[in-house]
Amino acid sequence: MKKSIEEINERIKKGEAVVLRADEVVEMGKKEGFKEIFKKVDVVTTGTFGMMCSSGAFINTGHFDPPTKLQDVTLNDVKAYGGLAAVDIYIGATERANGREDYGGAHVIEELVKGEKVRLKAKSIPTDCYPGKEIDVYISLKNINQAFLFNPRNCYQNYYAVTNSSNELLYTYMGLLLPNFGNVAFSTSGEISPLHKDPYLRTIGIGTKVFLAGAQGYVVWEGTQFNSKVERNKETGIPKSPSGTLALIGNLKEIDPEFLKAAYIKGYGISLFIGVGIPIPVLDEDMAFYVSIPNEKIKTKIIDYGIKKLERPFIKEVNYAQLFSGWVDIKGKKVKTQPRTSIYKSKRIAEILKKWILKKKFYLTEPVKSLPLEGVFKPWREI
Amino acid sequence: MERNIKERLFLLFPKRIVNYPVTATLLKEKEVLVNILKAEIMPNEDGYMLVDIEGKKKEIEEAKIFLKEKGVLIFPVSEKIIIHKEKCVHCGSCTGVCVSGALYLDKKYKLRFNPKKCILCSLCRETCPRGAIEIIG
Repeated sequence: MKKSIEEINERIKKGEAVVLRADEVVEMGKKEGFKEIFKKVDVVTTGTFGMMCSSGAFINTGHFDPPTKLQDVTLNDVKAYGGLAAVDIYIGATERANGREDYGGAHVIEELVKGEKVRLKAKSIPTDCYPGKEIDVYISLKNINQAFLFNPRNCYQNYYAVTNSSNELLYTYMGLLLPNFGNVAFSTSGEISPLHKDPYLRTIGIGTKVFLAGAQGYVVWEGTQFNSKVERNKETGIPKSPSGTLALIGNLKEIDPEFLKAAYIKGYGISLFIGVGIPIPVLDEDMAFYVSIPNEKIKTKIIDYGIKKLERPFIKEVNYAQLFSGWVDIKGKKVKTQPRTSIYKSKRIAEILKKWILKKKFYLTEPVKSLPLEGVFKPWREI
Repeated sequence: MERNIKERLFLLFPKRIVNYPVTATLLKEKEVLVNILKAEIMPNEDGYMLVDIEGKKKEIEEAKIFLKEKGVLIFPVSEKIIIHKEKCVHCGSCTGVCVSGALYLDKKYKLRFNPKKCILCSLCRETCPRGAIEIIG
């Protein structure tokens, strides 16, 4: 027996669809088993809210009078990229403001989303087509022509948990790591994380509609560093290390500031918290099995950031139930754990997506093209 | 004559040195007084100590150098902590470095703060990616 996405959408339209959050379906799976899930549930909603550095926004300001090309561009003193057509620019989340350590592209994007004004300054070489030399104006989402998030890498399918064996305090993008295995930091929202619920990306591909920071966005490509050929858990099929990633797109004008927040990581730089939620259709018993996988069965590797090499030493394998318990054991020592992804917000996202579907504001999409399951992430090599 | 001053410090003792009598040696070798306000040191675990260290300015500086040489991590302690809830996204980054357990996630994974347990070590401010923790003093 199978269900199609078309049939599920039909049920959504009639108001008959059964939609559960991933954490609800995990509970149901523990009590009733995945076969019952297939019989009873149509869609499972997931969510994650974490720092995703590879994010940014395209902006088209609309043309100026006299026409001016935006060449050397800054937004609130943060460099944007102007090497595109005249008034197209891209602002990347991690770009730092001139002379400031704790303000950057992510803050500019957050301010725009909150409806605030941002100062745009640009210089260019005048041409017959674009005679203007300089621009110094304020922009906001109200007066610019278009703005959309275009994030080359979001939504990692699993990620390492990290610790620090060295004698020094480390300032990493996973947060402060205390010396001598003082703590373990982990990201991903575990059993409610989108790509954990569809390990082989059967239902998520190019064209899949998603919750992107409060807007209805889309998967446009596999994310950068997409790496699906990794060791997988034999029972669940879930990768044991970072693997699949998504490139996402969404209208900045529709984004909810609650789900897009700038981050400043001391000693590292700027990043952007983004909320992503993806609905997983329960097409058959296999999908019902995947959506029911609990934290106990999702494993990741603890690696050591105390050794500063490309290949970080492997410490041990753990599951997300252990990580969420607040403690893990490393070499006989009880070590405190901390999430880096907001589980509170991740669940809110899964809940909002569930309500959207139940209120017929969001229908599921058939992927236009699958993501490459043979993708390998290569390190840099000299030619 | 130069007057004694008092400085409050948060000391982190890595596991490998907790079996060495750091504080006793400090008192023996340096001309400072140490008042331990709070401590948690167990064999084979990282330990921490909140102390008031009293003495002449130069002696306190020498005591700090002694502690650093022994592998103790020193953090100056401040007076007041403010959690800006409107900035917090409940990521939980601060909870793993909060050795006193003052910051924790509740059952709904919302960040909670118990000021009674806080020892003002400021590690949470260092790791908060949202600038939601302000420490005064």
